[in-house]
Amino acid sequence: MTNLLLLSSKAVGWLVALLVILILAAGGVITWLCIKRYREKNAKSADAVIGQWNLSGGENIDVATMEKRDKTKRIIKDVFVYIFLTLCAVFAFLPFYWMVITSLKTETEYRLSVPTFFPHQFQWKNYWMIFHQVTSASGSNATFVQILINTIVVGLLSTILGVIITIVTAYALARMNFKGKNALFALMLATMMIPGELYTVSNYITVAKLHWNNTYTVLILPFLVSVYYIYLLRNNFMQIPNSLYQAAKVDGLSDFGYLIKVMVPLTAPTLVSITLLKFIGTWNSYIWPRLVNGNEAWQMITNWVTGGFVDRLQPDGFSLYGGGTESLDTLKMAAVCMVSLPLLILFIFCRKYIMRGVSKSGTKG
Amino acid sequence: MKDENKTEVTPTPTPPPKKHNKFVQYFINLGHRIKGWFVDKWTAIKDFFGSIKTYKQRKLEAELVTNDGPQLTRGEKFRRGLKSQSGWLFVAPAILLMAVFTFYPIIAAFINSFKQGYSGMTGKFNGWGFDNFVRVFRGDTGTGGASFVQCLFNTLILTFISVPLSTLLALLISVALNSIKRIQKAYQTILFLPYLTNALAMGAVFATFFKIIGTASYTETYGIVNIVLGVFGIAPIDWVGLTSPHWEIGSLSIPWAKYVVTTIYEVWSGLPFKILILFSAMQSINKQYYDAAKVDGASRSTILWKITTPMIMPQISYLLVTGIMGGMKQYSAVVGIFGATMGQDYDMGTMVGYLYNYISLGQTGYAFAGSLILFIIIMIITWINNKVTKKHTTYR
Amino acid sequence: MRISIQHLTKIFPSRTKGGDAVHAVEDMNIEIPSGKLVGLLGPSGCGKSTTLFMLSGLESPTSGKIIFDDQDVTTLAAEKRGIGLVFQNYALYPHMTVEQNIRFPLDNMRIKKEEGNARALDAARLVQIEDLMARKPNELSGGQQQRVAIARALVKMPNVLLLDEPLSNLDARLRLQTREEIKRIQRTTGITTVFVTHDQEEAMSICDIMVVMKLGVVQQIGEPQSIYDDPNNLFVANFLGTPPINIFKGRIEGGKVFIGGEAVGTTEHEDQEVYVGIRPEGFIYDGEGAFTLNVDHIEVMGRDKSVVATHESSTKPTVRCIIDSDVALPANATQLKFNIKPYKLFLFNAETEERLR
Repeated sequence: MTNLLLLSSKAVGWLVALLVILILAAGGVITWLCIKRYREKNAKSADAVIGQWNLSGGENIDVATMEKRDKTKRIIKDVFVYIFLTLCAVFAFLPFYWMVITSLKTETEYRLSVPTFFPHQFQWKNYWMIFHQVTSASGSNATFVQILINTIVVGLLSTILGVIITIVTAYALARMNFKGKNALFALMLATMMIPGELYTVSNYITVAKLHWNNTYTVLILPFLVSVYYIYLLRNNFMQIPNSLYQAAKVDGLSDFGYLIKVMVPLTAPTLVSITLLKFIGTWNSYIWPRLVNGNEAWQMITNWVTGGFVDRLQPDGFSLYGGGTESLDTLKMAAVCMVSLPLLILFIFCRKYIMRGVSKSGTKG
Repeated sequence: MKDENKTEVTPTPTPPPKKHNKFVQYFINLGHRIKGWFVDKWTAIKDFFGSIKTYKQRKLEAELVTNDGPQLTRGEKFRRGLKSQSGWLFVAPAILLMAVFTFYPIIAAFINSFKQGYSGMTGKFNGWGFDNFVRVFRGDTGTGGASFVQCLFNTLILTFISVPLSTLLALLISVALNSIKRIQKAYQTILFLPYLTNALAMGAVFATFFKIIGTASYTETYGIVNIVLGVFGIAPIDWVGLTSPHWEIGSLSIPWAKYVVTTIYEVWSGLPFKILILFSAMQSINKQYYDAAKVDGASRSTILWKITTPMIMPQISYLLVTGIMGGMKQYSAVVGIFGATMGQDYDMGTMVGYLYNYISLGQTGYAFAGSLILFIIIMIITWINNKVTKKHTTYR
Repeated sequence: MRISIQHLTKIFPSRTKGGDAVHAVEDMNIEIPSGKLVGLLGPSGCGKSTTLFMLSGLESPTSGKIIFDDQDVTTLAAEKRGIGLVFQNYALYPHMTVEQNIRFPLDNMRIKKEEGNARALDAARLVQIEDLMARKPNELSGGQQQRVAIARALVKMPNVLLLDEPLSNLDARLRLQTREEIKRIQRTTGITTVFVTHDQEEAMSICDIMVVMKLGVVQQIGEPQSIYDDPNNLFVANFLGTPPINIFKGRIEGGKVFIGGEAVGTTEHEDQEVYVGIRPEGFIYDGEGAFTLNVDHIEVMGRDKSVVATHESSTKPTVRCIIDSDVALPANATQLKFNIKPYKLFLFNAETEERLR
């Protein structure tokens, strides 16, 4: 009975929400109908309208005025378009700008009641401070250097191994013939439909049972196989004409040699995309490392950036503002810069490859 | 053949031309030995892959065998049969990893979500049934974790506001970009900048825009948004903090201020990809359609809504679907802005956040149930998508 | 609607820096009487499409005037000129049905629904596609799409109908059929129509007035037959007629026209080097004829036969003569002699390539 009551109180809440949505929808429909009605009422008779450009006979159209009006309209439109685009560009760019300037401000300047749009005084020491941050909630030594090493080791290993597995699997699926190949490929593709979150719970239990917590293995292994990349590369491999293979055979190339010397170079753009996206994926990984590696010293750079950054009194007695335990936004923004700028630079230089990979999957990283 | 190859390729450590002292000599020899080992292994690998025949070769061989080749013994046949299945060797690593980290978890999720009081570490449970689902929906988990209904509500609201909004904005921006000629490239570059960002890092930046800065040791000042609002005479709002305003409906909390912040972030981070897709779709529309529309006396808005938009409808529906799918799985943005606790008492929790919350609480049964519900919701969206997209064809 | 084009010029700035600007149309002057079907004819790149787009208002001229009746419309926007334009690729909106496509201009004019429907149906009837109203363009054949495009252009009762290469995307059989269709529609509606083509046969068969263009410059304007019979210059003579005119290098000496050593006709012009153009149908077989050709082979076409021959003064590799099939030709002759019909022989200045009249 109580359960029912509990449910009913919640149901009231939902009902109210639903009602609001319904009212809004009804309002929209009514407005739309009104506009339609108005338009129909004001519709003209065809004869009247079609007669209007009967240039002969009737009074002449004042072309000059018309042209002037059109020109003014065009200029107004252009001005609006440029203003709109400029606002959007500012909206897109402002966070980056804010991030960089904040990371260079002193905390005092940052907290002025009227914010400054350019640092009065560059506080490069912010960066020095975050390099010497030690997050030691669990008594471990999670310095920036340690975290960076983690990220690079895990990133490199999982990228290299992942790309190798992708190449080999894609090759087998594209060029080799074995029983059950199509069934296997279909099964793999089917898993693309399933959200990765469904695996996470079981995988968490699996690695915990294997006592893999707080290792690199646990960060690398579960994400080595990416069905999407295999699919992408397989399609690329399939596009290579068979005649090329025969030519290579005539030239005395072994199958493996063909894969390395012909197929890989030919699909290099895709491979570059895959490599970049794999590495970016590792760089941005946050959830899994936090879940399985409770010890901060084994976590990744994105985990590091979510932590608090305080004006810690260094062993040599150095501090920015005399030490403290409060998380400082200027320091945090310095950390955010450290994480974001590499991505930004990578994007600017490898835009073509990254877009190629992403625009088909619709997901990032 | 194998042996021949080996002897050919494997280099024997040749005596160095110059006389070194014993210490150096040792390392040189060691180097040669290591190199020899690698070359050895490399040859073996090469032989292995070289021995794998492609389909065509095998077919040819099989023909030879069946036509005028000698009758094969049973063992020979078996060996040949095995060799033709060598593709499995190639896919073995992928399959193995997928078996452990993909296929097993899917099955496990389905089974374990029906185990009452299931604990992942011990594997103990009290019995079978829908208890987990019922408790998840009622919020009766007894652990003080996130509320599923709240998380579901947040996810749906955030997704169904931010995805249409950002798609519409992307459409308008693309149209604007498409209509200008001067400095189009510059705008394009700047607008694409947020394309590749770290959600947690940029979330933190957005938090500084909105937050009320400073407690304890420093004086309280406001973030830039509150300052701008102050110019218009609006009292500062605690957008992201503990005193953030919210409405309550039953046990449901609607932290509207936090919704605003999250939506703005989601629009910001979602725009570049959407602009990219829509803009390139627009650029590939034949210019003649616009000329024709102009001759037909279509106004600017008629061209936008009756020509351009229908022509890029496939891309728009693609963006809406992938956007909604992504929105259902959102998590990092919320954590980036509001921290790991997802606001106050998980009032900004999302469905994925719910899973992680219950994993870390050790209540894996609820996490399994939650993940299954998420799966079902995404399947429904996929199904609707398939129904809808079949109607659209690309016009190029 | 009378159309008057005065000193119309269009210069496209060069795409590359420092390159030459392209003079697409230069100093064009045409008077088009009301209710005529006018063909703009010329090889590709002669500026005929540019002219059409300037008439439509989609391109603006660099200088010059376009006048509809007495109204200067040079700077008037396309939608206000009251023109119907049929694009080369039809430009039917692929997401709309045939009916929606035809109605589109009317919808933009905010015309009452019932009236719009009636007019759309009328236009569809005119081009005989009233059964296809519910289809989408990609479910139609090329010829049907063409008709829809014409219906869409006609539905708003335009003052001028403009067609850009209307037949180029159709196969040979449909082309014949459609060009008669266009003629019929033009007659029924009485709308002044301008169309662009590079196919001289097409232009000659349906035009009331033909405008021959080359590199942006109008070469000749007139009725198709009169242009054919009386070309202004070598280019026009060469461009019109299938098989094309035969051109020889020749000279005038003492009132006689010489090709090689043979006098093929008489003229009043003074002595000079000339190009001599002879239409294929201008040869009359005569054993005693004045002009000798080396026969390569003879093609029998049924209605007539065509002698494919060579001549050392010919500017083209072969010379073609079309002769009635009932004229008996000696078998296996390597040389044949012909007389030339004087009105099928044209003389052109060797330097300016202008006609010597």
